[in-house]
Amino acid sequence: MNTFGWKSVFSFTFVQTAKSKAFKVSSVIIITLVFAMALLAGVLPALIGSHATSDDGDVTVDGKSPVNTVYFSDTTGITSGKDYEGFLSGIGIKINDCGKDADIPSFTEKVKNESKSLLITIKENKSGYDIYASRPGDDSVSSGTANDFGEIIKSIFDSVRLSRAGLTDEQITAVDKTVSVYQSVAGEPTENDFGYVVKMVLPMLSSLVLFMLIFIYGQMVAQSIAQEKTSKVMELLLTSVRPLAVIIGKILAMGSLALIQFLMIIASGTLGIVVSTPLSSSIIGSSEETGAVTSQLMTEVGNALGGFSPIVIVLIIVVFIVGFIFFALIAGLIGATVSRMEDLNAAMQPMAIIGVLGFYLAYFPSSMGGEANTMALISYYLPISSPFSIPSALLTGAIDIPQALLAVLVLCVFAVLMALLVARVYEQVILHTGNRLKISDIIGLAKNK
Amino acid sequence: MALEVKEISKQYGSFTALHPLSFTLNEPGVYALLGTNGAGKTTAIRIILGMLSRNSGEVLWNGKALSPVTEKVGYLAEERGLYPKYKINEQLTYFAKLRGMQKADIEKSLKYWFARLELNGYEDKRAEQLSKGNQQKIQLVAALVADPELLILDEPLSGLDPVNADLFKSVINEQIEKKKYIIMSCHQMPVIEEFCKDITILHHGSAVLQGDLNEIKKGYGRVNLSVKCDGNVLPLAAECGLVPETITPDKLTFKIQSEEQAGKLLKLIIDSGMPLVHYELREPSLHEIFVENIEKADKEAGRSDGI
Repeated sequence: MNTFGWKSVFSFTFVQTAKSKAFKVSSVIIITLVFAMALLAGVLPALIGSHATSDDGDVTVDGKSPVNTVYFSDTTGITSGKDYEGFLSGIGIKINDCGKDADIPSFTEKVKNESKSLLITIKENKSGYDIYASRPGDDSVSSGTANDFGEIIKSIFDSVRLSRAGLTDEQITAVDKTVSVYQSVAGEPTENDFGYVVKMVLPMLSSLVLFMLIFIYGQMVAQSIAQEKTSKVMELLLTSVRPLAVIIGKILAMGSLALIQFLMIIASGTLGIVVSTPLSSSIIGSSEETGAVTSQLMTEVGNALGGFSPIVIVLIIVVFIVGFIFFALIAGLIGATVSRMEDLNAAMQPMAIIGVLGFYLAYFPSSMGGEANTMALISYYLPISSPFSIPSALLTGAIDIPQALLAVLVLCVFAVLMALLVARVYEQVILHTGNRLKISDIIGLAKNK
Repeated sequence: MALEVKEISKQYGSFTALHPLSFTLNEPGVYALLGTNGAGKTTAIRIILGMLSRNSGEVLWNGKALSPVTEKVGYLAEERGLYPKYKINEQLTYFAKLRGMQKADIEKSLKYWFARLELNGYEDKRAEQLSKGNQQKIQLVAALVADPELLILDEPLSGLDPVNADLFKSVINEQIEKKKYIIMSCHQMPVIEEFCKDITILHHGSAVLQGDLNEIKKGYGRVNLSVKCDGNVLPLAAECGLVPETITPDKLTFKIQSEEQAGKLLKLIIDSGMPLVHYELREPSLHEIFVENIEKADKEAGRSDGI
């Protein structure tokens, strides 16, 4: 098998394709889109958080409170204005304790007409306590600010109440600790709703990106070979190199460009996330709440990428390369069967159908959280789906390394078998002119060689 | 050096595209591969170039199997092909690199051929921006850039204007002077007669005539007589048993059985005192030989489609 000249084919195809408008434009669009999406994914929670905060108000803005006076009445008698004085005077707010038996309607009327004031009333109900925060009729105090004050009063009220019940400070701190709810399948990492969504989206995105890259560049291999054949350049090339060298050079060149674009996607996505952190800070200041939302997103992405390790990265790149070679060999063979460019789309249809089937076979199990099921197992070992399913399964930890290695090996075997078939018939197919060759013709050529 | 084509054949299922074909180029020069459309010329050329697998036979260059990938072989294909969107210089450099040439040699060679074929200024143009004739020149550069020992030219002059046709002919003459081995396929018989020493005429995949063109012509003898007189020569020709094949204002042409017939007519013209303007006795042209052999082959095979 003489493959002399494949390097020249590789470098020429690589340079000319990289110089082409189509590659430049598609790269810029992809990089921009991925960067923007990653940036939005990071900034959006901050924006939402920031928006929510400004809507809800705050107890202080730049160290100053929008409230000047708080009228306070604890009808339960558990706390008094003094219990809140420390906190409120610290932010420049005057507290006016109206007493346990205060005339609430008159104070309500007072606050209604007094700008930058607030009436806090604590009442006991059958099962516990209610805290009411009434604000002025003008817009000097927002509903959010009133709500935030209510939350702070609640926190102080709880502490005092527990303290008066005989609990120590340590016990109160222990009681104050928040309790979150998580669910999981036994033996698997826990996840909350946010994590579940991330875990659904990431495999879908990774499968989709791989599918698009492998298919678009596979199509480009077919197009390039069909163009050379139909424009008769192939005849000139074949005086210098064997057909197999042409297809090897082309597949490797297109594969390299696809890999470069794949890495560009990862790099621009990472850059988008990195840039989003300071950007979201600049949007919302140093709000711990919004920082927490962004950080939760990152944590959940990190959790979803539970199996991320150097060997996983290597395996993903290997799967991408071998998967691309498998599909590109088919595409190259299809490109060689047509004698007219207008026949190419029709000739590519069966491959497109097989590819879409493979993609959905890979996508459905992974979108269900990557849980091991029969469909997922099939998708790991079928060459039409494994290039799309193995990477997402590796990322989400749905497949372990030995199983992934076996799946990659199976994919390699199929790629080699495809290469042998192509090598067997390609030299005869490439010079064929006239009607498009059918699959049965190709099988016939392979048998009769 | 020598090129030996031995019994090469090609079969597609039950269809024989090329029956066993043999010929040899023992010395530098131009060998003509002629034939009707679909006669098997391109199939033979593709087998020689190793593009197409053969059912039998071998192609030897200096006694060893010819490998165009490793030997210096230049090919100008009948159906021209260039990358329409790529720059001329870049694609020619690519073709030269595929021939294993180094960058410095490529630049030197391209510089020479661009000047020789009057292509200066087209280096950075895209192929689609060039005229058909200039694209053909670029194809010739691609065939010659590596200075091949064996050159295969399939219809080198088709579609060229007379000026560029002369330019191509001068390049072919240069290659002959440089002792290159050339196989030429061409439908323009005068071009073949101008350049080629040996020929093969293919028809329906079989060689119907092969050999040294001069010897072939000699074998036919001088059978074409053309005469022009200031008077009616037809009665004198009839006296000699000659019937004119063509009558034009310029001359009459006859097919003669023997040179004695021609001599008798000449004597009659002189004796009649009719002024003789033109008298020529010559061998058949390649065109005539070609047509005759094709018709003969068809007749023998019981075919009626002919050429």
